[in-house]
Amino acid sequence: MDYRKLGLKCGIEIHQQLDTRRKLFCACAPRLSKGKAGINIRRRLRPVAGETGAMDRAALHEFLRSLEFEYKFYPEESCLVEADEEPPRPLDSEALDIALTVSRMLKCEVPDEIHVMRKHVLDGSNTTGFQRTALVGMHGEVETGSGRVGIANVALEEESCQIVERRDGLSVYGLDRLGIPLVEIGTEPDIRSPEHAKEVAAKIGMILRSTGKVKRGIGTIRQDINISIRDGARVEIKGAQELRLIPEYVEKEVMRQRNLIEIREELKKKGFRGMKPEIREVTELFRESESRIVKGRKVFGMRIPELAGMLKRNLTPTRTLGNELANYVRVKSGARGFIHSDEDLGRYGFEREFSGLRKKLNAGKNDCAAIVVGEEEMCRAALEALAERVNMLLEGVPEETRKALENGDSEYMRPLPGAARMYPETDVLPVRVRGERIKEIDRNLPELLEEKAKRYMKEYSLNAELSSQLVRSGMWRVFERAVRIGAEPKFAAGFLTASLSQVPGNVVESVGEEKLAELISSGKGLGKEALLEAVAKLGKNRERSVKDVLGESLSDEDIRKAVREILKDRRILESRRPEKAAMGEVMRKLRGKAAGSVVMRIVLEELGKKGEN
Amino acid sequence: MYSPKVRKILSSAGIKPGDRIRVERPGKVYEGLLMPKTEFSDPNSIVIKLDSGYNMGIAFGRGVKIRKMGSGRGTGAGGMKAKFGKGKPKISLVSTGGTIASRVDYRTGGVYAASSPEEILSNVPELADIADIHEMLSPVNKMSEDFSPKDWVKTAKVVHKRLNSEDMGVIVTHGTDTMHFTSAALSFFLRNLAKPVVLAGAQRSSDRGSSDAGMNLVCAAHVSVSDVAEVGICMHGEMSDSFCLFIRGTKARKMHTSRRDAFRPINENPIAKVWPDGRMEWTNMKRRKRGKGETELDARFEERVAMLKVYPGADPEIMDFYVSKGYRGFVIEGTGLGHVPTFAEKSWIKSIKKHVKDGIPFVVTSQTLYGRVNPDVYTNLRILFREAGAIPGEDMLPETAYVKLGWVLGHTQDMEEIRKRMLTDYAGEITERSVPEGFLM
Repeated sequence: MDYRKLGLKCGIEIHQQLDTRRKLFCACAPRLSKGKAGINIRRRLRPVAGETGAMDRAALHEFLRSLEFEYKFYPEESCLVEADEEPPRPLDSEALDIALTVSRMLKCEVPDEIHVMRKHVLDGSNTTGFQRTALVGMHGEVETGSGRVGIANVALEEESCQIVERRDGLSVYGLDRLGIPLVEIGTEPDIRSPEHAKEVAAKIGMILRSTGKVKRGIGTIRQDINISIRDGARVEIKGAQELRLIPEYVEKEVMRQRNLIEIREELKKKGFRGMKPEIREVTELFRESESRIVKGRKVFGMRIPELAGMLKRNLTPTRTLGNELANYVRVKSGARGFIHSDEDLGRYGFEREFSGLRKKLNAGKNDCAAIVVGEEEMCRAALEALAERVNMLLEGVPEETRKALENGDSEYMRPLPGAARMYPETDVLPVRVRGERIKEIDRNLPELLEEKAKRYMKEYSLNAELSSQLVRSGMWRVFERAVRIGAEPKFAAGFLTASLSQVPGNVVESVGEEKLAELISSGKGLGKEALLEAVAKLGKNRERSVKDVLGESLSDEDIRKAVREILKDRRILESRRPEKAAMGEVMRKLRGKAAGSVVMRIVLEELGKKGEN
Repeated sequence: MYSPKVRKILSSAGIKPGDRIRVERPGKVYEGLLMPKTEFSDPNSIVIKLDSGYNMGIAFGRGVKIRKMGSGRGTGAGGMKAKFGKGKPKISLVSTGGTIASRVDYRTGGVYAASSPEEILSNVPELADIADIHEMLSPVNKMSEDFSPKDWVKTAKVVHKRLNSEDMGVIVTHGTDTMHFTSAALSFFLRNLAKPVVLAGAQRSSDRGSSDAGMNLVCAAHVSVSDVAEVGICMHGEMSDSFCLFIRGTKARKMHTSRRDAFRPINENPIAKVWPDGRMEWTNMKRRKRGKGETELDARFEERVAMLKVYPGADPEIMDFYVSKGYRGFVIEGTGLGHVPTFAEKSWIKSIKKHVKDGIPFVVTSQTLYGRVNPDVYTNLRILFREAGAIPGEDMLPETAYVKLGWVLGHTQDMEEIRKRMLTDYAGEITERSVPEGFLM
C-alpha cells in the first residue's frame, strides 16, 4: 500500500517509567506495591474555574457529582502527598537528570527554566484532579532507516493511579503508582508507514534503555499512536504495550479510515441526510420469543434508514461497521449493545420477530431495523447514541481516542480531548537549568545499546548473539560492574544471560545489582551451580553478604573427602568413563557448594592416584 | 515582577503579559503567550506559554530578540454565575480572605484573591438548594496569618449586624491558619447568641478539582440553618470527602499543616457531625439551641497581651521586656499540668510574683493542649499558683485563653475581677468535666 499517496500522518507518543530512588514529588518508593493495602479514603472531584470543553460547566458539575473515587494507601509506596493531603516536595533531581539526558540524546533544546504544569484529568486517576508535567525538551530528532523523525517534545511527568476496580459510580484506585516519574516523548507526524512506526518506537525505546535508568517489565512503557489519512481525521490509539503490534494498529486504523470515507461517499450518493432517533417500544412483538435475551424484559426498536447491508460491512478484517456502532453505544449508554437486521438473526431465533418489527417501524428493504433490550432509560439512551453515531458517518472519520486491543484492533474510548488545558503548578518552584548542567549532561551521554553490543564483541570477544542478549536483557549494568571489579567477561556474560534466566525475576531483583556483580567477580572459579545457589540464598535474605554466602562453599580438603567417599563405589570406578560418573555424583552430593572445575580437578587427581596404585 | 532590564525591553516593544510574542536567539525561535512573572522564577528570564500548553522560561541574554505578534485577551474569570436559593432560608456570607477565597487566573496562571464573595459562591451551585445567600460582605480580605485583633473586631461588627436581621445564620469564610483565634474572638464578642455563626475555610485551594472548599461550604450552609446558636468551625472530619465536624469556636485548633481534617476539637466532642447531603448528628450535650432576642456586640479588647511558651532554658527576662513595652497581661503555655521553671537556674517564679503584685495577670495553660491545668498536685504548682498568684487556665486552649484575656482586660483592670472572669465559662471555653472522648479525635 502506498501510504504517501494516502496522505498518512502518523506520530507516536512514548511513556516510559524511570528507575529512580524516589518518586517525582515525594520520598515514597517508586514501584507497584507487593504488600497489602492499608487504609482507604474516598473522594469526589469538582469542576474548577475556567474549565471548559466538551461539556458546559453546569453539566460537568452534575457529571462529577455522580462519581466517587476510592484510593488505597500502601505503606511504603504512598504518603500524604499522593493523597493530596500535603503539598508536593521539590521536583526530584535524579528524575530531572534522566529526563534531561533523554532529551539531549534526542537532540532536543532544553528550556532555560523548567515550569511544572497541571494538566487537568477528571477521571479520578489523579487525587488532585490534575497530572503534573513539565516540558524538558523540544525541537529534537531521531534518525531512522527511512529518514529523520522530529521530536516535538519531551516531558517529565508523574504517573497516574492504577485502577483496581470499577463499580457503579465508584472507581477504586491504588496510590502506589501515582507519582512514579515518567518521561513522555512525542514525535512529529513524520512517520511514513506502519513498519516505520515500529522502527521509531523501537529506536526510541533503545535510546531510553541506554540510560540504564528506566524501568523494565509489563506496564513500564506504553505507546500512544496518532494516525490520520487524507480526508480522514486524527485518531489517537492509546495504550499499545507490545512493539510487534504497532504496525498492525496503524494498518488497521488506515483501513478503518478508508472504509469509513467510502461509506460516507456511498451514503451521500444514496441521498442519506442523517436520521432522527424515532424510538418505539416493541416489547409486545417479542413476547412469544423463546430467547432468553428478551425474556421478561423491555424491547425498544428504531429504524435506521438507508443502511441495509452496510452494518455487516467490514471496516477491518476483524470488525464490522456494526461492531463499531455497538462499541460507541456501549461506551455512551452502558447498554451491552444492539441487535440489528444485518446480523444473522437465526442466532437469536428472531427471524419472525424482525419481520414484524420491520412492519411496525415502517422499515423498507433499504433500511435497517435495530433493537435494544433492558430498562427503558438505558434503551432510549442507547438508541439515541446509535442514531448519533450513524449521523457521524456523514463526516466520515470522527476525531476520537481509541483503546488499543490486544489483537491489533482498537475500539472507541472517548472524543479526542481539545488542546491540552494546562495551568501552572503553583506549589512547585520552576527549576533553572544552567548551561553548565547541560554541558555536564552532554559530556556524559550514555553509550547507545547498539554501540554497546558492538563494543562488547570487540573488547571482550563475546559473540554477536551473547552480546546482544546481554544488552537486551538489561543485565549489562551488572556485567560492566562485575568486569570492572575483576570478573571474567565471557563467564559473566554467560552467567548473566543463560544461567540467571532460570532464577525468578523477583529473586534477582532482591539480590540487587551490586551484590550480583560482587558475587560474579569474587566467586570466580566456583562454577555456575555454586553461584546460582548463592543467588538463591542472597535473594531469600537481604541481610546476608556475598562473603558470608560464599563462605559456605567447601574447601579443597572437604571436596577431596567427598570425592574419596564416592570413589569407593566400585560401580563408578568400573563405569565406562569413571571421571564423568564420579563428577556427577559428587556435584549432586555437594549441592552447589563447590565449583565444577575444582571438583573435576580433584576427581582427576584422585582417579590418577588410584591408577597408580 | 520582571527585572527592570526586562521590563524596559518589554515596554519599549509595547508588550504586555498575555500578548503573543516571538522570541528569537541564534538558531532558535519560540512563540507563545507572555506570562506574568511568578515570584519564584528568575527575574531575568521571561516565561511564555507555548501552543502545546506548556510554560517555559527563556533566559534573557545578549542576542535575544522579542517581537510582538498579537495582543492578548483580557483576563478570563471563567466561573459559573453565582446561584441564589430563592425561597430557601436566608443566610449571609462574610468573606475575610484566605485559601478559600484565592483563585487562579486561567489565562495567565497567576493566583489572586477573589474580589467578591460571589466568586466563592459561583463554584458551589448546590448551596442554592440549601439556603438563600442573599447578603455577601467582605469586611477584611487577607490571609489569616496577617490577621490582627482589629480584624476580629471588624469581622464581629459585620456578623453582629447580620445576626440581628432576618437571616437564619451567618457563614464566615476565613484563612485556616488562625481561624481558631477568630472563632474564639467571635465567641466572646457576640453575646446572647441566638443563631449559628459558622466559620469555614479550605486546605486545598479552589483552583484544583480536589478542593475541600465546596464540601466545607455545603456543610457550613447546613449548619447555618440548623437548630444551634453557637460560633464554630466547620471543616472536613477525615481525609475522605465524607463528613464535616462542627467544632465549638473556643475548643477548636488547627492540628496539622496540610490535611483536610486539620481542625480538631480539643478536650470535648464536636458539636455536630454534618454530611454534605444534609444529615446532622448532634454529638455534644452542651449545645446552645437557636433562640430569640437581640445579640449584643461586646468587642472591647486590650491588645497588649502576650503569649509565652516556657521550655528548658527559657529566659524569664522576656516578661520584663513586654512589661517595659506596656503589656498588661500574659498567657503562659506551661509544661504538663501547668508548670514553669521553678527551682531552675532561670526560675520564672520571682518575675511572675513581682508582676502579679504590680497588677499584671498571668494565665497559665498547658502546651500539651489536651487536659486540664492543676494548681495543687506538685509543690512547684502550688508555688506558682498559690504563692506567685498566677491564674490556672483550666482546660482552655492557650489561643483561646489569649483571646479571652485580651477581652477580659478590655473590661476590667481589677485583679480579683480578672481572676473571676478568667475562671468563668462564657462561651464553652471551660468544661466542667473532662470526658474521655475529648482526646485525639
